[in-house]
Amino acid sequence: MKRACFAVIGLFALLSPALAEAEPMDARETARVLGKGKVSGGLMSPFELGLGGGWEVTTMIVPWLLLSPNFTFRGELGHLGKGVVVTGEYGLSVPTGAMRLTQGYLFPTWENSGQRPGWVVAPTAGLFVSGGERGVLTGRLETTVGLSLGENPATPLETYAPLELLFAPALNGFRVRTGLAYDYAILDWLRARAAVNGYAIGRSPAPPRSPFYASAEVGIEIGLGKTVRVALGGIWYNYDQREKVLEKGDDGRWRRVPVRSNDFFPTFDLILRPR
Amino acid sequence: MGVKREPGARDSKELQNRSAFPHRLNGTVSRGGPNGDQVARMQRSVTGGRKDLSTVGAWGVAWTVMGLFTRRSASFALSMSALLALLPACEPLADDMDFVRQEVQVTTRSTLVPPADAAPATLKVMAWNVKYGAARIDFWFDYWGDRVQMTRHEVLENMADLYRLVNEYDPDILMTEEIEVNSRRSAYYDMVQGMLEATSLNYAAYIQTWNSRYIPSEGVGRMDLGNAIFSKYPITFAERIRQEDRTDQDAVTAKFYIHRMIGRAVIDVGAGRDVAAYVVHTEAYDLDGTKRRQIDQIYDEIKKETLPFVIGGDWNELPPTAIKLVGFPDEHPSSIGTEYEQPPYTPEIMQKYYDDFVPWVSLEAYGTTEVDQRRYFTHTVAGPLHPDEQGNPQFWNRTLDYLFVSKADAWAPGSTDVLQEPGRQGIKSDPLLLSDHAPVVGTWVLGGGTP
Repeated sequence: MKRACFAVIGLFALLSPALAEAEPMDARETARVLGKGKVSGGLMSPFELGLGGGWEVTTMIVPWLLLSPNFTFRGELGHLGKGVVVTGEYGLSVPTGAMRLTQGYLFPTWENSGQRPGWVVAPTAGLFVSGGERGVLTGRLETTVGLSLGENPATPLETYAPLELLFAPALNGFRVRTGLAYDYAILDWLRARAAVNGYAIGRSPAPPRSPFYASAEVGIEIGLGKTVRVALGGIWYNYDQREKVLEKGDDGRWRRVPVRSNDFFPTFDLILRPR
Repeated sequence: MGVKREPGARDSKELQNRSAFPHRLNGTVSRGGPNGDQVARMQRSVTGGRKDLSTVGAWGVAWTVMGLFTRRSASFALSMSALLALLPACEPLADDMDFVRQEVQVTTRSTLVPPADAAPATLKVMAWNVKYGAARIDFWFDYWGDRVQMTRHEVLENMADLYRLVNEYDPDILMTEEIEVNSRRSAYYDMVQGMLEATSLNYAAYIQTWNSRYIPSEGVGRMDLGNAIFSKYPITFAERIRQEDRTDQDAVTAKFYIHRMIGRAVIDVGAGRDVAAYVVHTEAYDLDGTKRRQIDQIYDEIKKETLPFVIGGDWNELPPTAIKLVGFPDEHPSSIGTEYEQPPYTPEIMQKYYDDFVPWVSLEAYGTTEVDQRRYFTHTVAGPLHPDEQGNPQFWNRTLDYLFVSKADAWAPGSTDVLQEPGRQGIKSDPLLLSDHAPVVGTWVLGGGTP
């Protein structure tokens, strides 16, 4: 199996003109912003456009497909010594379209009352710090709050972590994310990435549950030419999704006790990011 | 707290005569027991086969990445190993309940209440579909409303009313259907433990029939529903027996759908006597004959029971002599043509229960006119909060719930009833407001019948 994997990577290498490049692929999701006119985008990654002057604008494509506009402006705030960049992030999204499109699935149809998920705007503010050249270390802290414009009958989903975290600002009130990522250029056409994140979301309906989520991810990015990258990896989440198991206590009695859920998801992305 | 966790759930004592139940769960196959494949499935369920396709895919990707990095960095290998080690802990999308029979754990009241009679000659029995504590809140699938979840306060209030009625009747054995222990729609309230703590019932066997981590339909979310057998006397062994699934659903719906079970508990009623109690709840909306096959399987199962037994539950079927078979006034017009339209009943399939066991209400008592039979109706979807076509509050309009005991036993004269309204058997609560089913009750006379 291992040999086969190396064979596949070798094939990528043979096909990749990037082998001839002197500069390694740059790291993504860092505090560094794109230069003016530069773009980057992926199926699951943000579309980014460099505006110049240390600013870029980003947007996620998938929410747009679900009629949920979203924009984030990122601007360099300054440098902390050589190669360490501090960037601020200021965004706004409107997840109502996604909630309404998924009525009947994630949300009730409410056929009799005719209710719809309400209008919610979700402003974001964040801070990124990145340093390093071949290996880039990035710290991040972001907060997104959901501001309801009128009545919103939708309640927190209490579902799988990625979906829960996506809708948390609109349904739980807020989402805070902090994380640390290390991204290393193994070869000019191959990067590896590892990251850990912690999240906190707003309150859920009674009974109480833990609002804290943890995730850890690892992955690689393979350059296919000067423009295309393939990202492969996996992410693990640890969180409270109301799971309970039957446990036998010291007194011999069986009880249903809450436990935190652990989920592992493979990740994949196809990214266009010209060098 | 030092605890032992056993997701597969098996540890309780088996004190019964095993000749009645040769299918040992430890893989020892007795004569007439399950075949090798069935044993393998049983063992898989007991040891916790909690992996589904998504995690299998994750394994593949993870191993690939690990292979890439093993030589380059031990830290990557270690981190991936840590992730892989967590995979078996992943909770599946929905529990397929891939077994034939499975032992279930018995939970108990925090403080046991000794029964008044340590070796009773009779047992008061009650069977009740409690509609997951929703009382008369109109849920979306009934088409009378569009609620998908209750608040914690609503559930606690409704369950307190249910407990009150149970205490008013004070059964020795209680069988419940549609009881939940950790469902989103009932605010994750553990109704089984709640029932134990709020009544004088000491032991419970929860027969889980529906365990979906997240049902992506109408925001239903997590579902942990089942039936339960409660007893004042010790339940020494309990098991669930898998019933056939519907075949008339698409694959996605079937994945997240309920899996019907026969629940069986062996109860030690003192003086060296064991009795068996069964709880069942069969399909309601199938169009492929699943309900008929489930009812046949239940019959076959209790037919071979060697202990004195009582069976109670919601068969979703009318008695063989029912007069009114169609046109029930509580079916919402918008449910017509949907998957929740009531399919035609086939009451003749209940006949053999009346022939071979002792019903709590005989067909003679049930009567031959709708007016006679009305006294024993146990179900109405809409209830008193929705008027019928004449503008009157709706009342129970069909019989779907039953109690039967073995031929060797009997029902005490005058003790059997349907608790349709206050005053029946001395109750004060109004069952019509507590569930879409009425409790069926009777006093079981052990050995009082014709062997």
